[in-house]
Amino acid sequence: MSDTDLLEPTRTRTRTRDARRTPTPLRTECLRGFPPLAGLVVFCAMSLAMAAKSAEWMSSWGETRTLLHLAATLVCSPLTAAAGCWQGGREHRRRTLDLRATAARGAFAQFWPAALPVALWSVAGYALAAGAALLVNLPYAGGSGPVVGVLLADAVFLTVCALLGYVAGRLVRRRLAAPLVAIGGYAGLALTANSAPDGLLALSPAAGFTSESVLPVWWQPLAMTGWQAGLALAVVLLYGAVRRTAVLVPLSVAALCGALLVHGGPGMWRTDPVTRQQVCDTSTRPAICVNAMAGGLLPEVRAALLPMIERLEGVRNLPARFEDGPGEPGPEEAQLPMLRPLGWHARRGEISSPGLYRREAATALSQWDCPHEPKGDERAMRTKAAVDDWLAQDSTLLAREREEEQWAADRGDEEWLADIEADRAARRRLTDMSESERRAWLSEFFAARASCDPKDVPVL
Amino acid sequence: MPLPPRPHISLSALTVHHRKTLALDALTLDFERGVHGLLGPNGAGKTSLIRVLATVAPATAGRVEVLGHDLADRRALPAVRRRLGYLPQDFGFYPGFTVREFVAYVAWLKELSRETTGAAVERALERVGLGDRADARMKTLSGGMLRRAGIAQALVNEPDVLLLDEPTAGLDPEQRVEFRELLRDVGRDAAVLVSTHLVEDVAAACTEVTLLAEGRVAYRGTTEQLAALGADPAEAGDHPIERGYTAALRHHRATAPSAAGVTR
Amino acid sequence: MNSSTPVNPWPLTGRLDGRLLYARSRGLPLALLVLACLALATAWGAAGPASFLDFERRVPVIAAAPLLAAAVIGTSLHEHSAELDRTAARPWWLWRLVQIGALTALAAAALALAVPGRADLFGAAAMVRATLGATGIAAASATVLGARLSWLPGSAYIGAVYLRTPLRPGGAAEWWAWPMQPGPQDAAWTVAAVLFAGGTALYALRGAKAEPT
Repeated sequence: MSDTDLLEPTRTRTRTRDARRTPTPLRTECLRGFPPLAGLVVFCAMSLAMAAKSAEWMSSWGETRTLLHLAATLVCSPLTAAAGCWQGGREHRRRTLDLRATAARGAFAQFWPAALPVALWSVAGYALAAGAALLVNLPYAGGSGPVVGVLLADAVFLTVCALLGYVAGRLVRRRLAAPLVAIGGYAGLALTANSAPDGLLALSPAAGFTSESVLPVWWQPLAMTGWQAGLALAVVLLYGAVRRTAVLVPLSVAALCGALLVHGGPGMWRTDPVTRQQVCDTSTRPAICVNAMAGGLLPEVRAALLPMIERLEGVRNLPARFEDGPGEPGPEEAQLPMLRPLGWHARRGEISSPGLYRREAATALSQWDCPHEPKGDERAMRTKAAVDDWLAQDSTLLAREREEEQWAADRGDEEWLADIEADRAARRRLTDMSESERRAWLSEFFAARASCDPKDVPVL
Repeated sequence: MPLPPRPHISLSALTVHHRKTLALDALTLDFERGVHGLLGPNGAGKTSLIRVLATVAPATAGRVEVLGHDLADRRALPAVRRRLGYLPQDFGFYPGFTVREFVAYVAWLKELSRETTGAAVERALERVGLGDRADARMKTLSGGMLRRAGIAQALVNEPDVLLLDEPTAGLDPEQRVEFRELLRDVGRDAAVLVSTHLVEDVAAACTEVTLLAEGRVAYRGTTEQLAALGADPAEAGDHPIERGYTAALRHHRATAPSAAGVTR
Repeated sequence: MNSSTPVNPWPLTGRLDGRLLYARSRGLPLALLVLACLALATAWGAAGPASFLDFERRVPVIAAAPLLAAAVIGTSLHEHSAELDRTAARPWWLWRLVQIGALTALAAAALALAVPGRADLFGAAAMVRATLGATGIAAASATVLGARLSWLPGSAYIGAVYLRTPLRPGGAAEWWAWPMQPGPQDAAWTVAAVLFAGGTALYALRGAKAEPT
């Protein structure tokens, strides 16, 4: 056996181990220095922005995707650009410009391991926060789900910001460069997202989800990505000065995608078909239908309305269902009190004040079912109010009534006091009825809804 | 073929302007294999020369050839830079990197292949005696260790041309002795240019001395010749080389009209 | 470098008054210039027909201007020779306090004057409060991260709560979304005042974190 036979395997093994131990530039740049901090800052900012608005997006995919997009583009992207700028200023701060100038690798090759880590960490911070928001929503959100394309396009935008920020940081050696990029970015993006003409608005990465119920056409995120990435790559190529003509390729991609976006304009956003759908619980009478965008809230809504529904047992002439679709409720339908925008009645998958919600539902239930609401008749109004209050069983309502009474007494407003007393008497009469008597009376009351004549409202 | 037939470094009429100041004035010089000391008072143009050779600063006029390539030809630069080692006077570094990571980063910048990088980094660190601190962060190193890390990064590609600007600043006497040994070792295959103020380093490690003054060559010769110039004990200085240095400088100032610096 | 005395472009340079030299060592002339430009830009951004009713135009300006002022003040806390400074006989805390206090007062006054219209609806009051709070954060950050990076935490925080322009002012949001309150909310003022006092005190006592130059 020759020496080489003996030596060869060992040598290969040491070499592979060495190669593995050898720190590659990208890995080193990712683990050391500023980029991890940038990722942490982006994660914190993203989480804080989402947490601050949690009442308004939790339980709705529509709101969640809108807010994720806004938080990524308006909050995280200026920070990422500033982080890139700071990283770009590093060579100047650390006085390594001379060392880099003697490197065999050109500016373009040097650019990537130095600039990419900030982008990677920022995207990681964003992805973590966005993923957490999506997970939180998973158990009870309704609607058509997050738009993966937009999530990815936003991640690309963060990358673009980091890379462009790096170039800016390399070129502008001022201490205020990075904060200027961050704060100018905030103000600039906020202004373009709000008040740019339609054509240009389509090019703004921050624009897009104008409401929870719109979705982009499938190619919008692609075109947005091409537009941003093309521009960024062109700038990086110019900075790296590999071959000036190479700039034309990404520039033409950017121009093509930009033209697509401008041409698409507001037409790139269509109504989410889910907003026209409802999910219903037909086990109750009236049945409860919730817009599919907030479908996850159905059990909560049912629980909130249940005390009222129990009191309606055996009553005839009721609307068939509460509806929550677009447009006015049809005949035999009552409008479900507004669940969206979130943050008012519904927050974080719960009905924040079930009594108040029930009172609004009762009002909707006893609403006149006429093309034009008949002119107010005091007796009919008082009767309706008594029915609504009795159905809602809202303790805060009674407390408020006592407060009003106190106030009226303090001001010596006899008329108001009499009014309150009359309300109370009407409610008492309703409570004092026997079960069967009340069922019959309520059936008659609800029958009057459709007649559109206040005189048909039964006497209480 | 281990070596190109031409000198490692060849300058002809190299002129460098910094704004209005003339830093190098029509310098014509060759540097062969071996260790060359670059001496001179502050502002003599030592750093300017090294920065031009390191391909960091451009020449205002004249021709610079390194390893057979004209530095004016931008396409030749990568080939030169691959064979170049450079320790700047103001050595900047990334404080968060470990020593190994930093040297490996420079190896990548010099386009060493991935397979050879690991071994090259180890060897460079061993040569400067930093093998045991390879995994320490740069920011935790003392001044002397930082200097050695700087030398290690310059050595990592086993350069044919090694440019060291004030490499011994911050080294303790023992480290300096080891460093001179290292210089002699590297100088066997490569052209090493050491700019320094410490004449003992020159006396001990350099085979040849170039004395710059006001952007011109004030003296050129072997170390022994310079020492011989300082044989007269009346000359200012405590060491033969020191005396030789003063004598050469005085002679240069007496004979050459002050061309450089007139615009200052 | 080594030229005969050049024509002096700055009236402040060349005089050997310690206070002026201190100001120059901190780059205060430039900081003042930037603050002045910022106030002008703010006035321009907040002006325009009925812009005080136009939150979409006004709130970005109200959020960005104090942040930028704080960034200018924060980066001016940089010490070029921290080692040397720490051996000085003069009481540094006093100089630091005067520097940050004077710059903040100046910035707050200039920005408050730059926003026309009602003071209590994203106007002068919100501007002063945001400037105080943001400067406090920047000063505290300077002691932890170093003066040059002192803009980062404040920018991240205010950027993040920026989306939380309140549906209804008040509630718990007054405490943590203090930069986005329209005006006279007590809790928001308390937070901003505490941040400013705390950050300034911390900086006065500890100074900016030493950075490798």
